[in-house]
Amino acid sequence: MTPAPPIPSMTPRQRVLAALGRRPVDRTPVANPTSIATVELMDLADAPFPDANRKPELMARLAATGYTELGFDSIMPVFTIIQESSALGCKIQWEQKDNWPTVRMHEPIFREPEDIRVPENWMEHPDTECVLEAIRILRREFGGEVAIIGKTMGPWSLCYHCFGVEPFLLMSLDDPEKTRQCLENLKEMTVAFGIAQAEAGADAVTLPDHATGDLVSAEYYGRYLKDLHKEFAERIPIPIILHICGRTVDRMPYIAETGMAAFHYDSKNDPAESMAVVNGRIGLVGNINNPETLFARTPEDVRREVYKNLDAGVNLIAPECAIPLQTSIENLKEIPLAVQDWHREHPRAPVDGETATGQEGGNVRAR
Amino acid sequence: MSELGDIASDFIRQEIEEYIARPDERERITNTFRRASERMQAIAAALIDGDHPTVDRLTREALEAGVGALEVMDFGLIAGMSIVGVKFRENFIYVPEVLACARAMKAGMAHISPILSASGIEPLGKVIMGTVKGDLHDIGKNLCIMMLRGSGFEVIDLGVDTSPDKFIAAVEQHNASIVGMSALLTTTMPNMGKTIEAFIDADLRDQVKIMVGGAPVTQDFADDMGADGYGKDAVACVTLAKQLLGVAA
Amino acid sequence: MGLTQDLGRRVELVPIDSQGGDITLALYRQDRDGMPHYRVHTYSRREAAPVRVAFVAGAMGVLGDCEIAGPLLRFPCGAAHLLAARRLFLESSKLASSAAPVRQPLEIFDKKSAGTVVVTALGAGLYQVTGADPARVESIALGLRKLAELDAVRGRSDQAAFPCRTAHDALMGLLLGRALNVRSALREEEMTASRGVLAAPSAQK
Repeated sequence: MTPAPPIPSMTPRQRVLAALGRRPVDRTPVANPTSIATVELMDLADAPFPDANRKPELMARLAATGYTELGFDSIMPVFTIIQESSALGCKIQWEQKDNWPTVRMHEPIFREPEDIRVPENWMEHPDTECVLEAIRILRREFGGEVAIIGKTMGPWSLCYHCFGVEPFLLMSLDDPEKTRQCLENLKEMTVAFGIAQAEAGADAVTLPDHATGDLVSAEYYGRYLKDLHKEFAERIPIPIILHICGRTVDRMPYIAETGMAAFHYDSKNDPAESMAVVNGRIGLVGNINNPETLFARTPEDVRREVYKNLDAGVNLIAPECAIPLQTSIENLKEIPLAVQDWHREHPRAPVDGETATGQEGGNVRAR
Repeated sequence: MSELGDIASDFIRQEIEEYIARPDERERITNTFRRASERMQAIAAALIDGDHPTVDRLTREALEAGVGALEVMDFGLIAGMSIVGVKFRENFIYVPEVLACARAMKAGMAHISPILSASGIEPLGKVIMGTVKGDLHDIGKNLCIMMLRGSGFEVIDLGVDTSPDKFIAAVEQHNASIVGMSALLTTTMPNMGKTIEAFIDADLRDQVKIMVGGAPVTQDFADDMGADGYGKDAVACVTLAKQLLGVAA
Repeated sequence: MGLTQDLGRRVELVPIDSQGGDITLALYRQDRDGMPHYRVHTYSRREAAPVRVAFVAGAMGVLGDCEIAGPLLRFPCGAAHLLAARRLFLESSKLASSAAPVRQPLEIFDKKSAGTVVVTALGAGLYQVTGADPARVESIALGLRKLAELDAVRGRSDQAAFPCRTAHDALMGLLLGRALNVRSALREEEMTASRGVLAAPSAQK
């Protein structure tokens, strides 16, 4: 068999964009669609929470450590999921350096779709403007070297924040039309923020929209979100990485039809099974376990999970979700090291008509 | 099946046939509904359907017609919830549906609870319930709590992510005789063992009975952890609580 | 690239050192010459940070009778005593830098039994707990074993032994204070460790 032509060495940005486009890559990228900030990195960058979520210079500085210190191929400065909800008027509990800001969902701000008011200048709210400015800062600092990933919250997650989880889930059963109206009334925020981040310099955007199997059926995703996500893929001009925590294999067939670039999936789902289900129609990003592996176990355990994902042909390697703030640096650094070692151990196996790492079909043939 | 055929309600028969696969559960639930009047089966059916206005109305009508509050609770509401619990565990229904059923149960209990309190019925016992540390799921726990309250227990709900110290403090404060721990994640199950150890460290282990439950929990696990009992589901939780206190089932 | 260093394996963390300007302090384990060593470290580049690190390491030296060589600490017996090292680090980091660390004696007043509890070194790392209330003695001995992964002694619920079979009087003195209420010691650790774990909106309180 003719040896496959070598892929020239890529910059981290080229690598991430190629993988998101399911095009050939020199090696599988290590990306972070969600936060990899830790308390130790906050010290290193002198950018502690909560200020790093509210001041663009600190946000950019802390986010950059993912690339400069840990060796990831991307920088993602939007550590939390509260920006838009804060701009809408939700009460935020800001917490301290060692904890996440959260929306006080037990104090909802909306009850009916008619209550939804999106302020005209909501992207000028300090918490949303912070994101845009941080992206601008990072683009200026790093040029085209590293991929910058933004984040825009999906309407289902925004509804959890604004209506409360239980009231919203009851509404979804009691009154599907009302529920659809809520999603429609909020979807423009998702689109506008995605576009604004693209204009600020983001290369891709994570879209968390938590219709997880831990709470709702796959049919729900198909009924309420699939078409919306298709619309987002059409209207937001940069690749979208959908993020849903929890059990999601049953809804991956729907997700794969949306036209989004990739799905960031959780460790509750097996990599090989997930790759088989999406079958090349969407990329997969993930799925290193956070609370056990990254937080509480060793670099050797991290390596094992990285290898499991690579063996399955997952397109981008990442932690499964925002990592615990106390995660050790050595565990995080192990991720890109493991990816590099895996590729050394698995030189590209040429297959007729297939690209460098078989990434197009997502089926890497390991020797 | 001749036993199922004894159940008047087509809906209830179909629910059992379609969703209750485990033989022991099918037997227990079938026997319950065989003993339930048509009026009670209608309440259960409305509850399973998440139809809280109908549960509200039928409960009220049953009580006005002279049906005893305990009978309505056991054979209407709790019987209906027993099917809901299984369907949720087996992923036939999800959280929105369970929330609707819980709302229906609450609507029925709004009529039942005052009667039970007024009749001076002492609680069977005090139970501290909580989902263990690190676990934020509460539907299973909430179903158990409803069943326990519905069966005459006083329940103090500690919510989710409950640390061992919170369990201990609650037992001391309320002089409770039973602690019930729920976990829905395999990663949080070990916290059940830690909580039991905490009771040992606090010299309180002999003063409480500790029961555990949750989808990933098994009898073997419960034994290894040193629990006094394991409840497979919300209905079994009530049976177990009664056993642990030596009360008739 | 980068300012992070290869410091070995991180074994304990104080995310917010309230006595040290809220910097993050970490305890790393490095094995040198086949022996386990520990290093107190912070990535903070504030001016006062190195002084704070030196203080905490020094306090560990005093309170745990550790040998100090440059930035590294080790137990003289050469054993890891990982759990004890973590406890030593946590207790040392609670001290203000203005305080002089003082080695704790092997006796303490126990409120629960309203009497003095004494720990006696019997040699070769074996310690005996004595006090007026046998149940409390047992409980405290159990607490000591838990806090430092000490060996139980068959038939002697009032004793605990260091696996290295070497005396660690200073460490015992430190652990004794926590063993009186081992629940609160473990609870502190659990509470700190559980902060900063993000839950999806559906799973947040």
